[in-house]
Amino acid sequence: MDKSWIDRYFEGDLSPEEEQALLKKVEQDPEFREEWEFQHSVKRAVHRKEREELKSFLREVEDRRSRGKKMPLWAGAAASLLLLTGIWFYFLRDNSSSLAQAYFHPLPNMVSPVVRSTDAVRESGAAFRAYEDGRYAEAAREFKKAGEEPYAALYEAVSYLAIDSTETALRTLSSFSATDGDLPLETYRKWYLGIALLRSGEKAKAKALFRELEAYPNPVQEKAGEILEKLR
Amino acid sequence: MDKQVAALKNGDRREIEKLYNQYRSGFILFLSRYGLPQEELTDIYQDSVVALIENARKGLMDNLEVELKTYLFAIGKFMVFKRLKKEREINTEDLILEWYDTGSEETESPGLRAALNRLGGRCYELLNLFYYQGKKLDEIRVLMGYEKKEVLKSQKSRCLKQLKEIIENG
Repeated sequence: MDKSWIDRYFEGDLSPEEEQALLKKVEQDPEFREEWEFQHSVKRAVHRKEREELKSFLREVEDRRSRGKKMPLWAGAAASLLLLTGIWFYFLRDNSSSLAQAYFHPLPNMVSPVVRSTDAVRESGAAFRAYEDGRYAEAAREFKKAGEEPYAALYEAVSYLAIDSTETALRTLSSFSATDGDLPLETYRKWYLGIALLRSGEKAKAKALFRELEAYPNPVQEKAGEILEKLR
Repeated sequence: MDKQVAALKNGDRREIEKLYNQYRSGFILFLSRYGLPQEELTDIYQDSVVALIENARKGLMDNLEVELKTYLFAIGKFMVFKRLKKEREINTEDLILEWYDTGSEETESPGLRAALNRLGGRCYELLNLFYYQGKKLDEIRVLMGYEKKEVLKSQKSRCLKQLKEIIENG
């Protein structure tokens, strides 16, 4: 056995028997072992070097993103004006519906990348395509067709909320319950139910739900706390 | 092959930046349920994009049957579970993905990194293709324009020897 076996090992070309023989040789022959270990350390070091270079590029991209989010001067002025108007309204009227508006964001599609491709998930493909394209009325119809699965009902309801069909969203969200598994469906159901209740002026019921959501670790825990603080 | 995969294989930085911005928010939201702080999720996202590029270069994504987004998110889940030390729960949904574990930095032989930086360009290219990109010697022979595999093999040995000498002489 010569040292080219080590190359073949790195290329993944050895049979299991050959690999066993090589490992035995490494164990018994100090010169062979030294070469083996050196090449492994080169492999690790080249990986680290390449990854660090790529990562530092990605960090720059991240920095550019956050810098890009900073507003230009005129936008800052416009925002201040809006803020002042906002404050004025804030003191004049109940803030429930504006908070409901501010805290509503359609839930991203978390189902297709996570859940194994069952028939039901495949059937809701069209619904998710419409949903991701922002065609919410169509998405709601498609999710309704997709069946009884809680996730379909949840996305159906969120689609209604996105097109301001608050009453239909409320009915859908109250018509089922789910469990938090791989996806925290029940948590999201309560969150969107809270938003829908706020929109239709049922502040007390909404607050009760947000209090529940604030009490255990979940993706919307922080937001539930914030919205409670802002609700007077 | 998918256009984006091809761009990743070529290391096209503009495309990498575009891809980074395209999936960042969805990725972070998708993994937010594991209770990790935002900065750590951003770090995991960056590692996942690095892993995505590596897997593309290794040709593991040439015949990808799922969307690139699904693949990237599966890498993300894998990375989160690794950080949470829940390796046994890792389920990559039958996708072929690799992440070579480089161990901790303390185990790196002293002077090796500096020596790699001082190594000649062609030698580094050869070592990079072999140890990082996982190319076989036959492929490297074509890529680097060697006529005979034997010549390339002795070139590789010389490069490793040179590397050792740089380390020894400091």
